[in-house]
Amino acid sequence: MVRALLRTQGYVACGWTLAPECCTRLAEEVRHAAEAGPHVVGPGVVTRAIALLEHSDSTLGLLDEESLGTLVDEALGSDVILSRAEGVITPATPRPVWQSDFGKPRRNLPARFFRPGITLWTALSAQGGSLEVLRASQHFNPAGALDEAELPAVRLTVRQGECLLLEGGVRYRLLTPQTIWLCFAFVRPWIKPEVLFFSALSQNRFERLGRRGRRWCGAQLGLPISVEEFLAIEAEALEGDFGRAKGSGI
Amino acid sequence: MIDVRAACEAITAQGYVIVPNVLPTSLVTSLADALDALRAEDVARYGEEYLYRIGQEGFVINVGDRGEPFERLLLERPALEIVDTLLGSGAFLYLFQGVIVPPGGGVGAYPWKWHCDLYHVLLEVGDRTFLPGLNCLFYLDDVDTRNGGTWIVPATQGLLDEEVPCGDADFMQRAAFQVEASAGSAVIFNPLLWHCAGANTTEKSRRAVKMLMVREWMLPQMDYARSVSDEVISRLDEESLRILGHRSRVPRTFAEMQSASALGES
Repeated sequence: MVRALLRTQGYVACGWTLAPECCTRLAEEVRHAAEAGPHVVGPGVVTRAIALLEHSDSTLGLLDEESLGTLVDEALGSDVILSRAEGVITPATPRPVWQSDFGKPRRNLPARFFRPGITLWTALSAQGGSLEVLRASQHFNPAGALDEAELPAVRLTVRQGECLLLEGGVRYRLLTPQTIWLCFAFVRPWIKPEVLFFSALSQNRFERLGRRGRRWCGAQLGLPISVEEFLAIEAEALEGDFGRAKGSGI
Repeated sequence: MIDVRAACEAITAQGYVIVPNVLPTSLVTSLADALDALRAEDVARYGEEYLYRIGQEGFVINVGDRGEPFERLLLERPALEIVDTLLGSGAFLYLFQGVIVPPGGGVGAYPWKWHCDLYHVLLEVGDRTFLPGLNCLFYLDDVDTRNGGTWIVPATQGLLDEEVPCGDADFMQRAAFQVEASAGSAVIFNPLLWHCAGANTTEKSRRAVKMLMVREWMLPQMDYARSVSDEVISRLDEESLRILGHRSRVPRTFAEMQSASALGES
């Protein structure tokens, strides 16, 4: 059902929720992460606390939560990696800007064949938050002449702790002021994420992750930067199954 | 002078094109000598048995950082116009390596076997018309049926392994053909085309350089942007750096991610 709704309308309110006290704690950790940095200014002049996993124990712990894992499996599958794991804070005066995720792979592949990724938005603020989605807009080439006014826009209210799933490529914008969101974006492991979490996280943070968390952070990607690393990965791949073609040669 | 349009049409229709004499003789000689030297270096360093056991015998890794001839290949980039036409101007290297088929190597000998590259992409995308990348194989020796000319099954790009009976000798005799080309020529093909190195029944190695280019939003097999030294990078031009993935590399730290965002590279 989740996948079907994502394919057709581009969004779905899912059953995964966080308790109010957890949201309060997470919101505080997002503020701290934004102050500690680094952070990025995103569409609509939002503050993106991009190093949230480095600063927030609560967010780190979520990566190995069974309920979140089940949701992602259902929505996209188990063979995925994190592209983003961040807190997003909207400004006091909202400047909603249409945006979409995974636009580059979407340009090359029509949505009917391929789903590059999904994004999860969870409202952490006590008052919740709202965003607007252009229904089914993931089916339109983002590089083409898409007149946002011509597509049906759906305003979605997300209460504190509730989660909204967005299909990769769907157009959306954040509406409410001074709202704190938790944002996870997942992508296929052969598509570039926004950051390589297995490298970006400090050793002690990474070691606190369980199996799924490490996998989501891309521990299995390899991506060597030396001959030694490359050979070590090939040797390990022969013993395990990392899904890469092995023994090829021309 | 490469007929780019004709080459692109051939790749689209049958999955491959053979482009004769794209490399000057001096570069071919330099590349071949460099590959021989690097292979000897790797054997001395890692051991022939180890390289064979992990299926890496005959593959020279990370050549972009291992000698002037490969820098020259990046700077001359003879196939780039075809690549950019079909993949877009952000295409970059997924794999950049030397491939040496020794005497006795090639199809029928470990680790060579029929395959298509990026098979995992094919499984997920499921669209036969999708071109994820382009394999550019530059031959450094004359190749033919005797010394391991690449076997190709035309028009099999995008087919699953159960749809291409590579083990059926009768089918392969009718459907497959083996590349014959002079040193300095290239075969450029859809990586999803079923292919394999031919059996080398001669006394000499068959050498080639492989540049597998992919779309700008795909992850490479090796992080060439970071595996090539600053010294080499200082000698390369902007287009070479693009080919290495230098300008589109995925951040490895949050600080890098912040910088990339500020530069508009994310």
